Amino acid sequence: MSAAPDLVPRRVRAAFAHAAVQQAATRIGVRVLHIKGVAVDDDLRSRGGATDADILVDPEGVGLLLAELTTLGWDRYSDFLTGSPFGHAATMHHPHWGYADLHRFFPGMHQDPQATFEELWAGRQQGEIAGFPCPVPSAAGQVLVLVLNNLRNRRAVLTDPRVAQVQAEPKAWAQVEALVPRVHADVAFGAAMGRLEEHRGTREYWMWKVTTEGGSRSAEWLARVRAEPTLRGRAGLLLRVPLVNTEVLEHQLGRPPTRAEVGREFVHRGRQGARELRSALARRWRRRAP
Amino acid sequence: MTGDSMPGAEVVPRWSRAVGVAVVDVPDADEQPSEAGGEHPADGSAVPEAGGVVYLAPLPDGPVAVLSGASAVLYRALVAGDGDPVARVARDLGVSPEDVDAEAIDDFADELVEAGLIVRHGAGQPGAL
Repeated sequence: MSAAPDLVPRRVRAAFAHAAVQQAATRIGVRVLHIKGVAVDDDLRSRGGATDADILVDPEGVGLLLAELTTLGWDRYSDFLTGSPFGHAATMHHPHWGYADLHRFFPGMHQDPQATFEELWAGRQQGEIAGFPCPVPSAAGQVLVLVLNNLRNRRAVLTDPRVAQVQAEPKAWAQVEALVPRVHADVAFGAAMGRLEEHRGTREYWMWKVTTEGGSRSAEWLARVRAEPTLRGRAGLLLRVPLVNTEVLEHQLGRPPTRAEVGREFVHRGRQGARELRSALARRWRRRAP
Repeated sequence: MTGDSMPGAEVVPRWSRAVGVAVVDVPDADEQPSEAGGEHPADGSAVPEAGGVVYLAPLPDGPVAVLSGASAVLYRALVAGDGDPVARVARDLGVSPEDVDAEAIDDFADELVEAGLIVRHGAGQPGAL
């Protein structure tokens, strides 16, 4: 009757991951909101179905939840600092439930993670995943997550039929637009709607400019640095630029990397970054040349 | 109340999913899910099995229990709470209630109870359908 994890479809395991994280969060009193994949209303789901669980965690409780999951047999697959330029999510892995991405904020509505979480939490509705009650954002919140997720992944927003369907309902779309300023997502939402130039001069402008128009990983990191509101944040990001994601390297190798392997990867990334910067400077030089 | 059908009486389920057990019911799943993660093997050789698949996950540790085909039908009948499991199984499989082995259903329920996946309610004695 019991099955090896490989014989359980990933989307089924993703549903169990949602339920398992919810159970852990409830036990320790940490608030979470389930987003994307099986957590969203049917009309907003992607055709392929999610293969991992995405969960937005109360920023104040995220450390506690990570510790609790670790005691329950979850391994940390990647960390906040090494996962993405946004530093927004840590990925946990469980031998039976698969992957869960724990978000301490969502890119695009990241200016004030705590206030944003409170706003989304206040509008929450009760969903059910794998037979477990799981809080999910309001319908407007789910649409906004979809829009910002498409934006971050450089997928079309305006031509996405799921978005178009909501836009066709003025009342529903008005609720999405009303939520945008309350979660400080004006610039990202503007970028998603093709109105990024209205936000030129804001700290986030370049970040979404690079995201929407494409750019190297270095350019993405540098744009993220420009978007950081504090010097401390900027310094932190600059220090992270050359960091090797040792978790991912370990998963690629199937064992903990040696110091020499981390060193080689560090040099490789440094060279790649230098090449990207040289290319960018050359492009800029060519543009300026008469 | 044991859940025996009585005219005018509220029907109480004799079994329900155990607390802490998550469930995903895929009524139209193929019998063999692919290792790649979908319900359809890469070679497209799977034949949909009547009854689909029910996945049960005792949280937080697992592992997942997979009930496919007739087992899935039996599980749904046990936890449905809408009357006699024998009648429900007969209806789902499209056979006469006389053709359904009530003892087999009872044995199956005992197995699920023992595995901690469902719990028995009321004064019904184990083994009594």
